[in-house]
Amino acid sequence: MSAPLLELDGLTVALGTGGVELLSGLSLVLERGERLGLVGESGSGKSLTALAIMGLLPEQMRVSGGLRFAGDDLPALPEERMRRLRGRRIAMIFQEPMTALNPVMSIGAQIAEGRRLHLGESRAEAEAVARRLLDRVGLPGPRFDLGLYPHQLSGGQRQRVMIAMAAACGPDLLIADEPTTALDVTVQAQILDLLDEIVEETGAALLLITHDLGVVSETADRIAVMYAGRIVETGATEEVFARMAHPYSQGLFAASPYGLDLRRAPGGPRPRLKAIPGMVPDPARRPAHCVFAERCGFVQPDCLRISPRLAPLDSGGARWPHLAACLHPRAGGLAP
Amino acid sequence: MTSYVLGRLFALLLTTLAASLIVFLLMQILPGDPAAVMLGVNAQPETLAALRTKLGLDQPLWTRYLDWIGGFPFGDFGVSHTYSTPISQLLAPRIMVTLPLALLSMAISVGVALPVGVYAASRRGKPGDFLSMGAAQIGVAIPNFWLGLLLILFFALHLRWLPASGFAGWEDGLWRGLRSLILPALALGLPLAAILARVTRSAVIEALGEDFIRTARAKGLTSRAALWRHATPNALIPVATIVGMQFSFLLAGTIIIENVFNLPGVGRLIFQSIAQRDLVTVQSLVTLLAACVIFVNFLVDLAYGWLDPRLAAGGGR
Amino acid sequence: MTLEEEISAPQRGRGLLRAIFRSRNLTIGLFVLLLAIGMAVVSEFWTPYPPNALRIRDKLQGPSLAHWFGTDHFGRDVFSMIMAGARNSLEVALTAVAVGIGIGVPLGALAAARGGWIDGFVMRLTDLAFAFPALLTAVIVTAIFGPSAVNAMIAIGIFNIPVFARVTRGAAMGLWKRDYVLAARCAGLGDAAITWRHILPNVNHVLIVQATIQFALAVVAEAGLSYVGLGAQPPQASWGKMLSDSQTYIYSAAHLAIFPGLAITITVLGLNLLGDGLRDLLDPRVRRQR
Repeated sequence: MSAPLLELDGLTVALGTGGVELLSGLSLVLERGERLGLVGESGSGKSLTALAIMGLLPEQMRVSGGLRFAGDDLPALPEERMRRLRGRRIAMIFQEPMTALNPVMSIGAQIAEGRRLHLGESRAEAEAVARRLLDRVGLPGPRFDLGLYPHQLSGGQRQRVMIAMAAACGPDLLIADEPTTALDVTVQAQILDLLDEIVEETGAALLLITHDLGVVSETADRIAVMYAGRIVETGATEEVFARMAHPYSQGLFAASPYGLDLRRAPGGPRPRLKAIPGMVPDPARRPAHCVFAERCGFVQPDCLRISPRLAPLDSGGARWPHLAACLHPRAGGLAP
Repeated sequence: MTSYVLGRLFALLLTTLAASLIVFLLMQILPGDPAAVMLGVNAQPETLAALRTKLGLDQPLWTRYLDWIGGFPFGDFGVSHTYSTPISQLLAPRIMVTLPLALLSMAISVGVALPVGVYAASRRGKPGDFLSMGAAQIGVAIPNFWLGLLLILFFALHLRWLPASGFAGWEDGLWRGLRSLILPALALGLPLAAILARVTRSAVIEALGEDFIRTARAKGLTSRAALWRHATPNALIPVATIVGMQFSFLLAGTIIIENVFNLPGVGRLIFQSIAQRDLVTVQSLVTLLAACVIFVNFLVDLAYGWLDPRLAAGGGR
Repeated sequence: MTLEEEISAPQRGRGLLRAIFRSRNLTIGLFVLLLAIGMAVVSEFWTPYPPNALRIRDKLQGPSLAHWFGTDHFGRDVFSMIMAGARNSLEVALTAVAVGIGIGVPLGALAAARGGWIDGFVMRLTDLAFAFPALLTAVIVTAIFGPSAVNAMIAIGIFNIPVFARVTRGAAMGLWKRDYVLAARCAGLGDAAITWRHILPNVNHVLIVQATIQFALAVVAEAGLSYVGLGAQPPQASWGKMLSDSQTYIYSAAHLAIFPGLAITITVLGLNLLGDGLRDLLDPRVRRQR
């Protein structure tokens, strides 16, 4: 059996050697054609995970544990080989379409840049592809000329350019970091649909990072809920949504407008959004016991002693086992 | 776009006219009657009066101003009192010294400052940054005329590579002429390069913090390529402003540097005209210089449109 | 590497290094300024030799124990002349900055307080002033009023006026929109009183930094004017004039060209460092960017 496309095996990121752990023992496997939603509050380490995979972590951060892409140990890869993966086999879409594009470079040149760099195409060849890509992402010529600059486009249009850029070299893995957060609600769905189609067509794996459960439920087959630098619950999207075994997942759900709509009885009164009490603990002060214990509504004495590991909740046999890192996983359904 | 340029051109014309009026009025305060200066102390009153009539000094102020400025569009800048030749004729050979000198200095300033500034930004907080910015700090403090003397001491007197002063002219080939401009251009250009390098550094550092740099890296660009292809073009916008300002510095600097290196240029002509109380010449030359500065700033404004597509659209940001 | 550094900006160790580097700017700058002031003050009642004493038989001597910086073509002691020159430089520069502040700050404050056509007029005036390169303005003014140290002060000062007017206006404009100014106005204070009590104290720090920069520029400008013979006149010692004299003897006595130039450069360097240090100290916006 060949190596999985992306394999995180106890991935840990620390500030300096032996310093504060920002990510602790992340494990997950992603194959081509799969869509994984990485969910959590800001500060939970979602974006850091993306940067770690891209090899673009700040200099003083140290990576340990397994991080393999198509069998290559990424942290051990020389920068030059890592660079050739970036944009070519692993591509990324960023959150801020307003600032993530270079304001003084035409969109055509920005899309073509990757192909010229990685595939050695001439300017004309790469721009021909850029033209096709723009048509594909819903920015047809001649209205959307390659010579346009980012400021001449709307936020949604810019995000389409970003998607075209990321898809330019036909990557195996597409990382989308909050791709719709900065956009208008009406545009969000369109961009998600486009992302979905692109992944479908190219057969790439999608790692979708978001805090929005609605986005995940629409797009991802599988979900990993992150909290305080670790995965606290993971499994097939429907299963996780059906059970919400980890109290944090429940809290996240209860705090989101999406979860609210699901709980709302038809014609019934609008329930109130529930904020999770407290804050994500400072990485330097994460407790040795369960990281969520201080904010958990179901906390038990042993929660303050033991740090739970991800453990299977079902008998197994499913394609993606449902795992949760909780000593007292909820049985199912949502707390009222 | 066209209406914008036309509007700017009109404003430019007005500013230039205002500048010329100021220069003209200032020159009227100048003590000493140019006619009396020209004829010397023992002049007969009749001769003096005749000369004053000939020079137009007996005309009312505004007539003299209009007469003088009216010639400008036709290249008639008046007649020098001391040389008794049209100023345009005095100017022609001297521009062939000052203009190449100014352009060469500008090229040195930009050519040195951009690589150094970008390098320092890319090595921010590291020894290379502190070293190059330390050098820039010293470069900013060195007066150009002293740098000129030091360059003469070292390259002309010690190493004997280049002439210490004077201008060989363009008749004997490009290199002969250029050789005599290298040291003066370095003396003028290097202190400006020091200022520009500091500006470039901070502009590039700001650009490096932008999100699109991360996008470029995620695309697979090396940090070097992201620096030069993405950060630097964005940093050029503030740099262009300073380049425009430096041009005005440069023109004034030629007055002193042409003295240091004994170059027969426009700056030296201004200086000599002041010493000889050659009113019309000073007046015309200073006005022309001011017009140059105003025009260069206009060019910089146009360059913004080229450097920053957000401004090119003509609709502001 | 670039991206990583951006994120790592507030790292502890390097931040400390930078803090030291920053305060070192201030320390060196203050030291140099005090040194120059000290030389200028001491030169009033003591110099190793009278700076104007001509001793032709001692002319063009290189540096020695008797004459630290050597002697010039008249046998004058170069070190004594540099001490006396410090006085001239600082005096001219100080007056020039004072002229700039004295006229420029009220102009700028007026433009900010009144706005409208007054503001437009003042700004067009400064635009116009910037069309003339600083040194050119100085050359014209000294040409009109005759070469002298006093006229050099006026000439350089005139160029400083639009600089301070702009800076004051720029800083004051924002303040006029603040709540406390509105409160003061409701309390019945007039424009002049508000400017004096609320605006000026809050633009002080900007003015101090600008004054340091203009002071450094004025030292260079004075030296330049004296170098071309439009500044200080004999027998007043001046760094710029010493440099222009040195050029005649550049083949035989290079030290004459070295020491006055060093004096100018070190003074200007010190003032620039002081300006940078003050800016970092007083303007938190810049501090964050470094």
